[in-house]
Amino acid sequence: MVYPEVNLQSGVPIYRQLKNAYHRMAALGIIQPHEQLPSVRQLATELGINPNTVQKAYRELEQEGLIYAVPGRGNFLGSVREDLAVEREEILRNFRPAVHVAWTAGITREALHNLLDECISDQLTD
Amino acid sequence: MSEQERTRQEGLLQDSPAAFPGGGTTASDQPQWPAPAEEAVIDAEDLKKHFGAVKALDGVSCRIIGASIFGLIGSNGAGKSTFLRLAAGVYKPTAGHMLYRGQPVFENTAAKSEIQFVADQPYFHFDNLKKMASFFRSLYRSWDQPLYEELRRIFPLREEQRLDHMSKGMQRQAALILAIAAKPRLLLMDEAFDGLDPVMRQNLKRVLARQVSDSGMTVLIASQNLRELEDFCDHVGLLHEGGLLFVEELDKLRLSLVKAQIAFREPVSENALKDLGLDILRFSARGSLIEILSRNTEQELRSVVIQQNPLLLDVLPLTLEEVFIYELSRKSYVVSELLA
Repeated sequence: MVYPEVNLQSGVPIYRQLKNAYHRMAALGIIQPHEQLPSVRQLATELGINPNTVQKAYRELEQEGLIYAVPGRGNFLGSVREDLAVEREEILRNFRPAVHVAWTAGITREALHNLLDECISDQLTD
Repeated sequence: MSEQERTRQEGLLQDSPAAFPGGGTTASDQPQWPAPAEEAVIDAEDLKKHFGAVKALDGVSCRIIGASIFGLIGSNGAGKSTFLRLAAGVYKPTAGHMLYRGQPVFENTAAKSEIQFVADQPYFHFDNLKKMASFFRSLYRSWDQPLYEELRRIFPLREEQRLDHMSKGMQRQAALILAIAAKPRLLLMDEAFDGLDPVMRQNLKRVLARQVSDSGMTVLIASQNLRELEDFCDHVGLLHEGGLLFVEELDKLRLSLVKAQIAFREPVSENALKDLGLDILRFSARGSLIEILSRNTEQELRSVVIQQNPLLLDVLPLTLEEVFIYELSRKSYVVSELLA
């Protein structure tokens, strides 16, 4: 069973880190559709975090449709392959640091826009 | 390698999820959540405890829900230990009520048999852990011997060693082993993580997390150190001079504030940002670099700032200490004046 990682020092709420980790693992195929997730107890015990925090993350992931709960059996990953939104979110997340690096290096908004337009044009003409 | 070192390694280095959680309790893999219903395990109503002229607690009201982990923060003399002793049924309230599952807890034997209190400086009736364990076994029907054995592997202590010859940290571990193995419904801990090394701290968190999941145990931890509690509690209460200033869900506290460093090409004033909808609590400018703390979500802040074409926008991690200072300043007139 795959366990997500959390960073207790990051200042980001742990339930959010858990949610992000599951979205990422699902998008990357580290966990497969209909694979069982660790129980609240297992995950809380393994990471030494509050079970209510794990429960909160699972509840929100269920509301978002990434996972589903089977009463008495536990939580399972949904059919993520059909859920492109998840992957798109991951892709955009990966895009941000590059923008940040460019921005802090003093590259202007116009230059970035132009680059983006150029890249997309290249894709269209290929 | 001494026996102690060996058990220490066996207990700690097994890092696979399967190795740790088994233990003496129901090791079933079935989800056992939610644990017992969301009843109030502790219900304090206008609770007062005065010692002569000293008002250790002066009108505290607070509900703590079952199967939660509650952190009580406060400086020395804030009333934390008094609150714990009232919750443990050791002290009688001067006024108001301290209810445990709906019943007054003072001198309530049935209630007290379900409550364990790990004091700041543990006191032991017998001179070694072995004798203490058999004393607890005779005292508590809920005593879990396999769990006790497991805890002794996780916190490696020699059963025959004299408790008064142990270090403060080891005494604390002995008290924790006994308290947890008694399988209380309510575990009260005064400065619980104090004197434990980082590995032991993490082990304690793992044990507590499992017991909360398995048996719906409720944990109340008092500490001066916010950082010790911030990744573990679901609710925190801030006790100050005998009064409870606020109780809040930890995640909510943190998500309602954002701190960022921003630089603009043209100077942008605090008021300009306020006009754009930021609820700014602190604004400081060093040259063209601005640092703000505002009562907004990160998204709100980003969307406002991006419109102004910033040269730099870095959202910084917020410590819980900062969150508390600003919550305090909001609730308490005096503190806000001091900070201004």
